[in-house]
Amino acid sequence: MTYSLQVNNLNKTLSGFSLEDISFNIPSGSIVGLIGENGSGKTTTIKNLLNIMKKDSGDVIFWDKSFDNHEITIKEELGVVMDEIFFPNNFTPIMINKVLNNTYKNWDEEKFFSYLEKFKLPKDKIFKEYSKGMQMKLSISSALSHKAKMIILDEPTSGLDPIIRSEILDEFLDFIQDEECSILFSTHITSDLDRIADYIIFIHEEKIVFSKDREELLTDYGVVHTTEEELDKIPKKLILRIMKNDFSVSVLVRNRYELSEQFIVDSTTTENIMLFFIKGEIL
Amino acid sequence: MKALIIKDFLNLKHIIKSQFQILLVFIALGFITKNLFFIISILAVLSISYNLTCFAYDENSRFYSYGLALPINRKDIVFSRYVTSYIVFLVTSMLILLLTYMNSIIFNISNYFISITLLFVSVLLIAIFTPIAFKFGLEKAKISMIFSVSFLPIVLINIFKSLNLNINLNSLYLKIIPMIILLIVSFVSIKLSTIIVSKKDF
Repeated sequence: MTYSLQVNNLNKTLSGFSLEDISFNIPSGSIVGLIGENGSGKTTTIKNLLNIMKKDSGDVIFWDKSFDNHEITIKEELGVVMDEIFFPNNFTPIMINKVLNNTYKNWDEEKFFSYLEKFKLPKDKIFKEYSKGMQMKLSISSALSHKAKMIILDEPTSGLDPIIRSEILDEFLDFIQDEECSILFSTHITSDLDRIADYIIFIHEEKIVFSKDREELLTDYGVVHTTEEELDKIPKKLILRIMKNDFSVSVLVRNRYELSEQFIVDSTTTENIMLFFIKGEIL
Repeated sequence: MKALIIKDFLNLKHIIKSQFQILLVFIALGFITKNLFFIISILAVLSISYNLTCFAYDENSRFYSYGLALPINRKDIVFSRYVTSYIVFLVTSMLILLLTYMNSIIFNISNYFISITLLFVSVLLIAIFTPIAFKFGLEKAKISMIFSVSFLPIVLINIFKSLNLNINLNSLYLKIIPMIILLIVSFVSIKLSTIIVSKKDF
């Protein structure tokens, strides 16, 4: 398997916050979702990958090249979308085109304006007059117009209505048609991942909880609804998290088919798994 | 770096457009009052304020986070800001010197010494302000600017007084020493900003 990105033992300490030994891989040709609640470290991880924040230690390798030694050449092949405004408010797409044309060697002006047409974004309207959805579409148009091999997006769909979200997700699926290309995007809207992601990286309290193939994850994990008394019948090695209420206990288990003879094991969703890890207890 | 300079000037284009007519009114007023010094001092203030404006736009749009995700070095972010500031300064300096010349020719008022002092102070303030803005952000840098404008002249005057120098306005030293001071201060300022930005988390 070839990787677009390999991250090994990335560490970063800020006041009251510390990313610890973050390691994960992004296979070429895949869409990877980085999930976690607000403040879990998703944005900090992305900023450290890109040297927007200075990492304390760790290796970041894009296409077998060390980011520390090839930062500019690697960034030529990366498209980045941050979750906030990216150009001054008074900029029009025409002005953004002028700046990015002088930034990227492979900037494709025609492609950029064709995206604007596709997304129905007026060329001469200033950025602050755009809606949040239009701003995100403009940001994505910029990230896709310089023959990037990988797109990194920080919360691209948060705050957008379902129609715009769907349009954006379709664009990601189009981008990934070239098997050399890959996408890493952070989100807490797990339904978006259920639609397009191949892999899920779950980050919680500044640590990676798991990094898994999404289909394997949903096949492997399940939820057992039982009582406190019955709980002992589930082998401890299979229990990942439990959530109790007054009448029953919900248990997130792995290797769910091992339990299917004794219990009714429900299939689960990415959102449910995330909830169990955040709200649940360890036995 | 070229892209960043273009970005700064695209930002300034809006401001310059809106201020141009006001400047024309002040020039007209200068002709009516038969003294262009007021517009000269406004231009000196503007030469510094454009630097502030560039920082304001970048901070409001959190441009540095995005800019550093582009194929741009941290050094380029620093150098481009100084290049923009010095280009703006050069243009306003030429206007200031032209207006000072007009003031002396048309109205017989010689402001050369004060005009050149204003230009000297402008470069000095840009050099002080820029590393502070990179380190602490625009708001704190503005406070440092107000502090510098209020106290720098007093400090400088007291230094000159304590040195008990007999200053001859036409002396060669008075023309060369400020230039050397500016070069040193600007070099230190650029070096400091580069170190600050190279270590900063955006």
